[in-house]
Amino acid sequence: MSARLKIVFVAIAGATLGWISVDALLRAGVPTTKREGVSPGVADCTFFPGHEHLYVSNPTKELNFIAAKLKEASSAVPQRRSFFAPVQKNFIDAHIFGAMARDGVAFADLTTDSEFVRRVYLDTTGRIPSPDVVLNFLNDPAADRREAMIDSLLDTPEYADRWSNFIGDQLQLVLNSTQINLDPEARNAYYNFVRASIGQNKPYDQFVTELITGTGNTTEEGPANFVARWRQPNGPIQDTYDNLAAAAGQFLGLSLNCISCHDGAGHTNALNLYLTKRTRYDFWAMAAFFSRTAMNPYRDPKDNNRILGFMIADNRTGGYILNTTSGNKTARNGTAPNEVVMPKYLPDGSPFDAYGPNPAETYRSALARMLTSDHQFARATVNYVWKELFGLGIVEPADNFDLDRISIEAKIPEGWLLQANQPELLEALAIDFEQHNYDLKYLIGTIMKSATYQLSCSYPGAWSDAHIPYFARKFPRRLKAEEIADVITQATNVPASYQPRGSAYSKPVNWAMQLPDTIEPLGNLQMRTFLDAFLRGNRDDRSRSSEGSILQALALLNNSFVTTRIKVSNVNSTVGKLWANKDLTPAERVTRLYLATLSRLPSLEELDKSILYLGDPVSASKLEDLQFAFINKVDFIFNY
Amino acid sequence: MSKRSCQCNGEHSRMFSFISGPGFSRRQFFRIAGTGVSGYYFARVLRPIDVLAQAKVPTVGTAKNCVFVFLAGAPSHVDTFDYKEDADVMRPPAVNGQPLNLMPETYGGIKISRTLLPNLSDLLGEIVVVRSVLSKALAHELAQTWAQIGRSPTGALGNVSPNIGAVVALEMESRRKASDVLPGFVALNSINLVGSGYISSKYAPFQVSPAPTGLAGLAHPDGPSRFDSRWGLIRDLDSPLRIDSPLGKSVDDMGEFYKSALTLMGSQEVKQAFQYSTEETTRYSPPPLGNQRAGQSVFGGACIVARNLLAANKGTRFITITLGGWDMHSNIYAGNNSLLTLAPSLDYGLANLIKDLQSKPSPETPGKTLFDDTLIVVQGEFGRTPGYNGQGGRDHFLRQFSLFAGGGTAGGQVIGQTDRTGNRVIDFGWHSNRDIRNEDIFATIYSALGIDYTTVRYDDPIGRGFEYVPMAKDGVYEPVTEVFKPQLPARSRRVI
Repeated sequence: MSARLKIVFVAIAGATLGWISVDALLRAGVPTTKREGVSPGVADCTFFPGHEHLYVSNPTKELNFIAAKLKEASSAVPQRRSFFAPVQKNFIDAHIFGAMARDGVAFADLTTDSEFVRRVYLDTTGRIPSPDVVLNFLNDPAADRREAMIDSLLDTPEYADRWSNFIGDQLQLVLNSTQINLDPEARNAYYNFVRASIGQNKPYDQFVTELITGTGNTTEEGPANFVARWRQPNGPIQDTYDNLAAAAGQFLGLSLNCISCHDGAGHTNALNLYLTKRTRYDFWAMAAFFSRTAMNPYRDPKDNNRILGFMIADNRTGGYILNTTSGNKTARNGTAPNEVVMPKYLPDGSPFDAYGPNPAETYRSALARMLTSDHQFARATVNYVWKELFGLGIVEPADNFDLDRISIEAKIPEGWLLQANQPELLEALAIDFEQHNYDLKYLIGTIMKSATYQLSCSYPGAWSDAHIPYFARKFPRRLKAEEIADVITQATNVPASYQPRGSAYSKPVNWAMQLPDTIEPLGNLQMRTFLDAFLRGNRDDRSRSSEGSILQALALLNNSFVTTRIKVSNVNSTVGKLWANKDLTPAERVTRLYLATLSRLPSLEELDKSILYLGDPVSASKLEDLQFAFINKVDFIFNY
Repeated sequence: MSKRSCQCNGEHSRMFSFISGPGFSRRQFFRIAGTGVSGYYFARVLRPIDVLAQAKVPTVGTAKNCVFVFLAGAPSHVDTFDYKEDADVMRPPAVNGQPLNLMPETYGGIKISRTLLPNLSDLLGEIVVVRSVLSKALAHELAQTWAQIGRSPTGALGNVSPNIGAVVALEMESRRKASDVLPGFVALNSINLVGSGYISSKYAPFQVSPAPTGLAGLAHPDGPSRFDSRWGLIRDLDSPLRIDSPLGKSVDDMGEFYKSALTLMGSQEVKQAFQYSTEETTRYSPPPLGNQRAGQSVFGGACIVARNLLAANKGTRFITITLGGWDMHSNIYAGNNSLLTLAPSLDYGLANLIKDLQSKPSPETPGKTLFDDTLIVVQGEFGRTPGYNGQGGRDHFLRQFSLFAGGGTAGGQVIGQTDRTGNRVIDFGWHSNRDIRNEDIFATIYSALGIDYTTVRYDDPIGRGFEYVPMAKDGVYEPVTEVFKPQLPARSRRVI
């Protein structure tokens, strides 16, 4: 708790209640911390972003006054919120608000400061802000405090944890899968490579290049695991090359699996104009870029069934031969027996020029060069990141781009429309990303600094699903499994411990967001069951989902992960410390609990209800009940 | 479809360019209200095409429930339901110094080991043994997922396909009564469980690892009265955010999930369904072998819970029970986890489940039993090699068996016959005269439950269409109708 104030109290003066004039309070002799920039006659304005909190130093005296003022204001006719243009913070807003202005779509207000600080903490680090951080932020008069917070969060190790988790989902980085069981050493080498790359903010094109061209011993060289992950046993080697081509397609936002078994024509006609024109031969030509990749397993000398790792290298010869009748895909036959398919970059049909810019280029390095310099790579990446932050991509599904309906100048046939819901914005973001050297932190920061990202969940007037593609409000999303576990750990201040496999983890990690994949901790079934209830997926055939379920409700109500952490007998826990500190008033206890768990101050009504529940004198069990209830609240479970 | 039939006030001048198909329908807005916020949620909004297409095939419709017993790890067929005694089917002559006597007995067209499957040997009159089944993959995870979604997990929509149990729960939704408090789809002791995929998580499997004391997650650790005050507090503090939430429609379903959770927690019937006694467990468990303790079968416990859930008749329609451990690459007859322990576990659990279901009347149809109402399916993800490997075990093999019982099937018959080593098929035994696949088994299950197996739902994320059974409307896969009518003359069976 900040040393400057004995207690912090907020009067929430939102749309439904009206405004309290600061000057009126000052005239009444209520000592307040006056924020810079709060203008008199605030009651005349419809909204005043970021300045809606008042800080008073003696709550008992001011409580009655403020309550009376609020009551007075609420009995007045609520002001109709007028249509206004918020400050356009960057080019993203020009596109988004331009579209809304053009089509007459109303949009939400900017979110409040406490909503903002919780949201941006979760989106950058997967954790909530501590009470001190919340209070300092609410007290911060600087006009650029939001931008400063975003910048400082992007530089934390927790940022690297959370966004490595995102990349891990994209790469399907996991120990055991239908393709292959990586050795823990290899999985950890892979994860550590991702974590280091995100932490040092390696340019994303360089990162993807290193993955596609990775060589060496998979238990030592992280990037070599990109290839190993897709090795398909019990079938011809072409199945592996096909898996790799599909994985490469994912970087471009393309789902190439459809045309790995058959031509697009006759199958995707109603779904994807571009793919309908592509053939299975085109897919093989893309897979041919991987056809000189050597993957030699080496086995445990004590157990022949156990593969320790792979040596990944590039052969000087070899090719994609059409001569298979078994395996995962339908038979591969060419016009001539054992026909060899030459590599061709599928999106634009460019042949592989063996004597291109670099005469020593291998098939894989050529693919990496062509793929990462493709404008579609930038489009797909910015779309994935946008979707991660908004819950909805500019193109949906994000891995199903139709290249014939993406460019703004594309000629769209009758009955079809442009695929992107904001085509100009997609282009602007992609170009900006390329011009900034594929800098992920820059991209995430730019999106977060826009007013669009900072809109509230609450919508003025009646919401219509037609407004979804305008991003006219924030779409709340459930916290991910890892976030739920970590936020409960933070809020209760009772540490957790997760032991992943492999020698890299000589000590356990304390945060679920630090787990190297979504099937760990393998040795702890109770923890796995708790995390799996929140649908983190297996990075293989079951993707992560933000849906709810009865099991999630039961987990938050009855799982010992929650119920043991809220006990005052944990002396260092949040409730333990609140209980032990006998100098605190009930209002202070309640407020600190709100700050610690929900990262905000309570409303007047909430404060009253909670103090009433706690009783006088406060009982330990009631304090435990209060934090338990908070953990089951919507504004705990959701990022809003 | 008029482009003006959306819910906004109509002030905008042109429809925004994000729909790549017909325009909005008001009906669609209400239909998808309340689902969670996810990419799929938006995809459903943005793609409001007609959801269902069906070929309207006739279905058998004799079953109301399904119990799917999944033998994870892939059981050896040549030792169980396609028992072979050929010289090339190797077995050790002795185990732990004792001669191995599997007591194979012949009943008409089938041979079965009384040592491994004593109770089921006497219940062959209730079971349809299908021997001409062929898996398409030999990798565990891939094939296990295949067996739950009825299509290749690497194919289109593979990674968003719902478990068959979720589809059945969705189909049975319209029959739910107000008193149906149990989830439609329950999964017991699952390994690698496929969930509801892209369809609503309302139909997701309710996962339980049964124990005699009951369902752990249903009881609040700090006691019921403590829970009541906590729940009262949650409702008091959170109802402004749960009902007509200012955060939007996407949080509305949270209230529903909590309501269902509370209903499950508060129901005595639910509590009793998940509890069982040690006497019952003993009956459902094989006698101890060697140093094992008696009456400890986890599979037996799951069978008891399945029976209880079905007898309660409170909305559970699809139960999947997993019995793992069949992946015997070494010492298939020796060691702590061998056929000598695992097969009797299956036997005692399944046989007693069948007998108990037969002894309970059907809740809805007079004169019928719960066994008549419940289709039981038993299979693994593939079979095992007839020959031994170097460690006295069997390796992965595409040929496998499948069992059907109850739910209107004509027990006491065998469909399909394999060669002397359980490899190639001599007689496929059904009208399509080819290997039976997972897809055909799914069509059979759907038909038994009265569900049109040619249904295609166009509400999937990419709008490709999710087929209940791939290519069923083109006749590529179809129900094995022979399981519903007797094929071969009834054979002799030993009466207990």
